[in-house]
Amino acid sequence: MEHTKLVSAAIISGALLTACTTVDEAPAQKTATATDVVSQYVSIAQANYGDSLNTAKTLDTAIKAFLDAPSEESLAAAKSAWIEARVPYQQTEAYRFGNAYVDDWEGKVNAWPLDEGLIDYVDASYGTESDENPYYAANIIANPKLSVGGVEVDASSITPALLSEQLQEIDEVESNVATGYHAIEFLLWGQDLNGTNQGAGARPATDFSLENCTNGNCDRRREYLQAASTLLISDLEDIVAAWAADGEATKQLLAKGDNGGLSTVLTGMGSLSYGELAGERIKLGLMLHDPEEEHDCFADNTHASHFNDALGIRNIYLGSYTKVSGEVVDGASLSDLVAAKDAELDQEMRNKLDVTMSAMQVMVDEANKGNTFDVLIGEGNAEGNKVIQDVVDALVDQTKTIEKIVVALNLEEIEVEGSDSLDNPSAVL
Amino acid sequence: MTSLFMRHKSLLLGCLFFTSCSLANADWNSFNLDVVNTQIIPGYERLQSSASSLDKAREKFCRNKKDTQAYSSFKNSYAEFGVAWQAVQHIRFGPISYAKRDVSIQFWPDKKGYSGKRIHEFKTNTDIALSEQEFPTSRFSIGALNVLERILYSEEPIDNRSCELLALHTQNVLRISSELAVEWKESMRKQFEDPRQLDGFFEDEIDAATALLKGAAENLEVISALKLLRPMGSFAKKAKFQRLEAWRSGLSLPFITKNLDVSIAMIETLQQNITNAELSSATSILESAKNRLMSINPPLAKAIKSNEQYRELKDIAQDLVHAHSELENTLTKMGIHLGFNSRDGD
Repeated sequence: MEHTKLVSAAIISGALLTACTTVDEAPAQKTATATDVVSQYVSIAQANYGDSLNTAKTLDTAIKAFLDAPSEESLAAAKSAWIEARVPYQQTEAYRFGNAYVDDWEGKVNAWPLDEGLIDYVDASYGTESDENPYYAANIIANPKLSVGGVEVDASSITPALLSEQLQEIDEVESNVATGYHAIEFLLWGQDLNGTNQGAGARPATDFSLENCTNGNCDRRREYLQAASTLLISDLEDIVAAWAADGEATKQLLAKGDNGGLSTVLTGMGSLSYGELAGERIKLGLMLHDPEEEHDCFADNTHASHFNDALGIRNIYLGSYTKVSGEVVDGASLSDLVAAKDAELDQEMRNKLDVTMSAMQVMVDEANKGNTFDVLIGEGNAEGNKVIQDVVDALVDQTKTIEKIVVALNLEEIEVEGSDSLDNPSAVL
Repeated sequence: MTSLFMRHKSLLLGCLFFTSCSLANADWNSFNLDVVNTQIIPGYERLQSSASSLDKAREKFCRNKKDTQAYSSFKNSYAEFGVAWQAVQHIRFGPISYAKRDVSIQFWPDKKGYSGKRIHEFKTNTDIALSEQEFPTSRFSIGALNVLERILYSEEPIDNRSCELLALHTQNVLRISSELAVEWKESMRKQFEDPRQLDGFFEDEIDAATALLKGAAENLEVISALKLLRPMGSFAKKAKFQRLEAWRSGLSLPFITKNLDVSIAMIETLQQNITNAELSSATSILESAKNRLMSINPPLAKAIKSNEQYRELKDIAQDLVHAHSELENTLTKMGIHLGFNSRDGD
């Protein structure tokens, strides 16, 4: 069912966050079967994770160039590549919940929140200890050998294996995030010490200079950054392979059958919309007015990550994904399937997806003026708080319609196996 | 500002697909009012009275911090207020969801140590001066129970600055709990009495029942996943007591027991009001889980480190997962679709 059409790459790149066209008018109804819809969902996964891998490779090239010749310019280029890499990856997040394979894998690349003191030096305001995490301020870059709680860690050489096999979630603490996008983000930007005022992290390029090293241990910081980047690529290669026609994620999905597959699609959309995005990643930060509760907190790129999460949900519903190259992967959609059963319900879903994207766009527009997510959630910033609350409300509202679709497609009593959330579908549906 | 957890009106299309939706609306109405009148409103009244005692105990202690009896009574009042909160914390819609009242009473799990950081900030920056009116919207108003416990059970002596912060919190939770009790009696009860009223809170009787039952079901998920399994880790040696709720005061177990009580009570009320509700399986699993929990030697912080009790607690957590599943399946057959919940995701 997949077909592609070329869209001007210039248009997409020129309007990164406004590429989203309105969906408030339903197109002429296409005939779609559940099999077609699930098949298109796999096609989008292949394209979307493929883009994530490619942009991670571009990031790695930029990191290598930066490490070869550390300067503010080469650091800025690496940061820019990181921001570009987040665009396709965040759109894949709608695949996480419901797909056990993805959910198990995801922590390697996008675990959040993290206690950055595990990795490198931090400001005194970070503190030195945490109730939950004995490695809270372990500073692996400054300490080739660690002994915490009777456990010895030999970190004399910082390699991908050290990060993934020993440090990641060390001592079963989820916030010990040693790998993935956010570890790289911290190394490129450093801590954002501006609170809820404008401005992101401002790590100097000389933190990676062998000649003019600042803040010590530049050789080890360089090792860490390169190891994390190498690991990100290999982890993304794994997920791309998993979504191949004979890959494990594809096989697990298809083994659920048509209705099981549809249930997985909707579980991903609903769980990301509600508990994860509206709740954990947005509302919590707004209630606490706490800049540490923002997803891309070092780079102040949270607005874009949330926008792309929402776009990913919309992609899946409409069966359409615009690749980084501008190509559109288009095919049978859940929207078609719902419209065939209940055209009004489909229209309602489309309308609500539009409302969400509009609310997200307002947040992005504010960020482009310097009022990034951490500024908008600030205490006493009533206007900014409202911008964020509107995003939350839209996500909550679209979840209600996702729930209606679950019921309309009669998917509630499906037994799906494979992960906590799937073994107990009631936990997510 | 609308809260995330505010109950939105929704059409429950599921009724079209389940014959059990023929259950009389009167049955649902009777169930809803029973829960509101015998569990929720009395629960909020207890919260109010315990908040009042807590504020008084705080005042007495802070007047003379060397008074060991006042200190002890303050701790007891904290425990009573904590348990009273556990009896209503599963209600996540309506008045509790406005103006961050819920997180002002308790913010848990506090994965990034937010409460500790705010205490430190308040104590070290003496320029921070907040009036009773300014406090509720400030970043310091989060997690009264967390803050109270940290200060009350700290090894550091409680100084004047700590008492200032304690006063702001106890006054704030007294105000919140008083408002909750009044709002439920004067406004929310009417919503349940006539759930179909124009521009009302609910769509119909089933929508109102769904809001109630969602809390009872989610409660079980929270106990098993967050209150037990998360601190327990993969084996006893890896268990992290600091991840337990209220580990400093040793109240982890009484809190969980109270949570279980309210879920059981709501399910029993459902059985009493809805003929042929097939809930005996869920109820018996929950009763058994509660009895087994009561045989665990407190404090829970110690129990999760003991191999034998660790295994027992793991079994109990699994039983709660099973009970949650049984409950949700039964409710689906009865036309109640719980939908996504706030715990989905990480």
